[in-house]
Amino acid sequence: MQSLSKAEKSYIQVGLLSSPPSRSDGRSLLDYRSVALETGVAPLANGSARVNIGRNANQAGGGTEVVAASKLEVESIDDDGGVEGGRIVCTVSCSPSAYPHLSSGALDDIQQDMTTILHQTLAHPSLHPNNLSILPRKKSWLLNLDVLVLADAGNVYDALFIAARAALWDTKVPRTRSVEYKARKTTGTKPGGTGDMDVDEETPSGFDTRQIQNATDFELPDYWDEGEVLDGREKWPVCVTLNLVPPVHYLDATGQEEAATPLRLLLMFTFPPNGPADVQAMRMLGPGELKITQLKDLIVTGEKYAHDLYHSLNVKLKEEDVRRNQKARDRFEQHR
Amino acid sequence: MTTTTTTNPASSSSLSKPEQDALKASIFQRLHPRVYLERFLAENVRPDGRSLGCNADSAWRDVSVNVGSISTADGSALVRLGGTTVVCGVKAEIAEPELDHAGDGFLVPNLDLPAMCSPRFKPGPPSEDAQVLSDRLNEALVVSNILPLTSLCIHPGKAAWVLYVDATCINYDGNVFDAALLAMVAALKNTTLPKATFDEETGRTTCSSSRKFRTPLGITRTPIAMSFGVFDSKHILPDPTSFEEPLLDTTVSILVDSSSGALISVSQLGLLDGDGDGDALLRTCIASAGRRRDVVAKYI
Amino acid sequence: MATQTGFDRRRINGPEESHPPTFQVEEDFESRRWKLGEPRRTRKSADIRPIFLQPGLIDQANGSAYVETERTKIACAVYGPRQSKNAAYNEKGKLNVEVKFTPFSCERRRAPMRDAEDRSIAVAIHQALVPSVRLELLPKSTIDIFVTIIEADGIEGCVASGTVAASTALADAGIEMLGLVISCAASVVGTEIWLDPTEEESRSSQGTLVLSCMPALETVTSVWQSGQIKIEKVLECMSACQERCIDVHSVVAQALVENL
Repeated sequence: MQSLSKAEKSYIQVGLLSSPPSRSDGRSLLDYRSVALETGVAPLANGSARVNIGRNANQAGGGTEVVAASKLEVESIDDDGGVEGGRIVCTVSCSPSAYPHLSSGALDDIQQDMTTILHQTLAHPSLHPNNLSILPRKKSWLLNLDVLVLADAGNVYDALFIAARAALWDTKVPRTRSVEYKARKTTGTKPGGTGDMDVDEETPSGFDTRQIQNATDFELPDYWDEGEVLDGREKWPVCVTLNLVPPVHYLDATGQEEAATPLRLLLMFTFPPNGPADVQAMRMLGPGELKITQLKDLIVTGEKYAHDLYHSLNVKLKEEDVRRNQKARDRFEQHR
Repeated sequence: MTTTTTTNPASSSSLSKPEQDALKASIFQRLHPRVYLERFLAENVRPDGRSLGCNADSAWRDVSVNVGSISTADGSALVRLGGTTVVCGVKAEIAEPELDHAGDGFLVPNLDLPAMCSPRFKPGPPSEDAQVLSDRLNEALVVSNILPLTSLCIHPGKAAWVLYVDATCINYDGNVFDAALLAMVAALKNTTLPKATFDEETGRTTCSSSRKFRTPLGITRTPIAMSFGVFDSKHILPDPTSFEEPLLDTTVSILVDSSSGALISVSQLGLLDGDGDGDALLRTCIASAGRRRDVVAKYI
Repeated sequence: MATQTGFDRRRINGPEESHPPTFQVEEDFESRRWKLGEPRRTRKSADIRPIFLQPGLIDQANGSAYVETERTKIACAVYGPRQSKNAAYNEKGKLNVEVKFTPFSCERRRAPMRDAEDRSIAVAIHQALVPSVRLELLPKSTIDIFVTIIEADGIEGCVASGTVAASTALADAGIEMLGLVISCAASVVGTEIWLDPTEEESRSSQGTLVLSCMPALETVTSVWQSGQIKIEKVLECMSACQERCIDVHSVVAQALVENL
């Protein structure tokens, strides 16, 4: 967050509190800046997205810019930390150029804080997709979601969650086919063993250089698309940050506005296909305080903003799907 | 410099007479710690009210030991020595023994001096004090042979217990070595291990989750430490406080076996001059430690 | 993650890697385990664990407090206000919160390194406290709050009890505040709201919420929610927590008065 002089802070606050409210860029309190979203920006990732909030239309620069990419890795359950059903690990890193005024220690801290909020929200068991399992009790997918903040011109948390949601929406889990090897009789195998016997670790495996602990493995069949989408991808949450200058609140603060705002309320909502919204996470940031009745009203109001955001985001994501699927299909045809 | 004792801070005008005196004394203590201590010792008393000689029980601070209060540890102890508070927990894990000691387990003692316990310490990796103390504590447990490492073996060459003995200082009021060793020994005595079986076919060790099958460690010796500070080459200050510690010329730590009273080790940091008769000072310390043992031994 | 590795020459090192023991599953484990729909076992759903609070236990610090709620045990010390280390002029004081787990505080041994969880709890406690402290009176100064978690029973409990301990320690240090900050956790289990959940209870819940407030001013300083909770349930949790905070407030105030 940038530092402002007292006069600048008061100028911004007076503007927000006046009637009608005035913001330096002419927006009303509940207006977002323009949001640009593109999926599939990182060809080597399993899913990716780039989000820009508030790009300057004339100069093609500025704004808060976040790139998210997911990468799937195979993990053995038990041995290297894999768990039944797979797991999700989120990491946020910030480019030093996004926060040029921060020391490297302070940069580490805000990276870690963003990582914590993103990870605690997205890796919660209530959101876990069902199709990250490969072989029961043996192999599962580890989904690494890496989010990079390239520029912060305010409202970075909303941008983080939009990018994360888009990248997860875009993520394709490769199709896997289980394979059962018939183990050759070796001296290391125990008598009485049949088809799916253990291959002793000391005896060289007769199949290939990979260590095969169990006689079952999987292969990746070749197919025109990159796999199936993550199960329940509609439910990834969106975040709205309510910036509070009591008695008013406003959305999508710029960097300067953030510096002049004593309190922010982060609300993450998920929208099940039928039924009311769920609160998926909530945080307060800043030295301000609130009456509990105000807080409750803000949560209820925040859901409406989140709902609007969720819908426009979904429309855009579906457009992107169509655009990219078309491309992928064409390319596959060419290569045949 | 001497004028500092006569100047009154502006804020003290609203204080009562005894409060003003207390403030003056604490300012004097901060500015001239050495003179402050000397004046007390000239009256045959220590700043915290203990009597000077090292024979009476009142030369030591009160000690209390509370074991087994931490349920996440396999054994635990909380020790108070005057104001100094140390909590110690033992966590048992399983590892493959070292190749050259196939039948031995591991005992890994560490002391943490977090920034919480004293303004002297900063948050972050272990300070020099903590490193030195951890080393001395490890040495004390090793030389006293507190428990044979072979008793931690589950299956030779394959699996053995690792006992992580982690002590954390909660309040640092001097003589943390004695307190931490007492906490570690008490926590080890409080430790029980589950029944472990090594399966040669799978190469895995499994433990019985039943409380009944937990057994205490085979502890053979219980070392306790008694430390003394020597001030001005003549005053022996048993169990020094954090105020006295930086003023000491020498620190002497006597390690004895609490049950038999046998001397395990004597360590001395700093020159022991004793006005020409250092040996006499050392003998006094050892004799005093022998008497103190009777008091401390009751707690473990 | 499964094994502990890492050699550090500043510490006494154990073997290169070691594993926590694996226990056999007891036969009656499944039948004894709590299942969704059953009532809470240890206490009523709106009850919290009894609080033991002792201010001023660490005499080396300017202020301190020790708090114990059944298995959760937390010590906290406040140093300061003291001069800020960094040279930049700051018109407001800085509140610095550091949280440390003892290696034996959890079911699995924690390597003695700062990890993400320490920081996340520190951030939560910092947010809960920062609106209450009159930092505008302390230019160029830092207040250090060091929290040591001796034994943990659930993250929510650590945040809530850590906040109460830290606010008590600030009061014990005589630092000017607008009010004492009290914190209470809630978990949603099935259709019920269980206050002050243990680790096991929060694991079997859909979501948890920690509310920190200043009961004397009736204001909220922080809300920390994770999991999946319907909006009405969230509002219900907040009311339940706030009500309980008022009770805890009197306990804390009493403990501070007795310590004078």
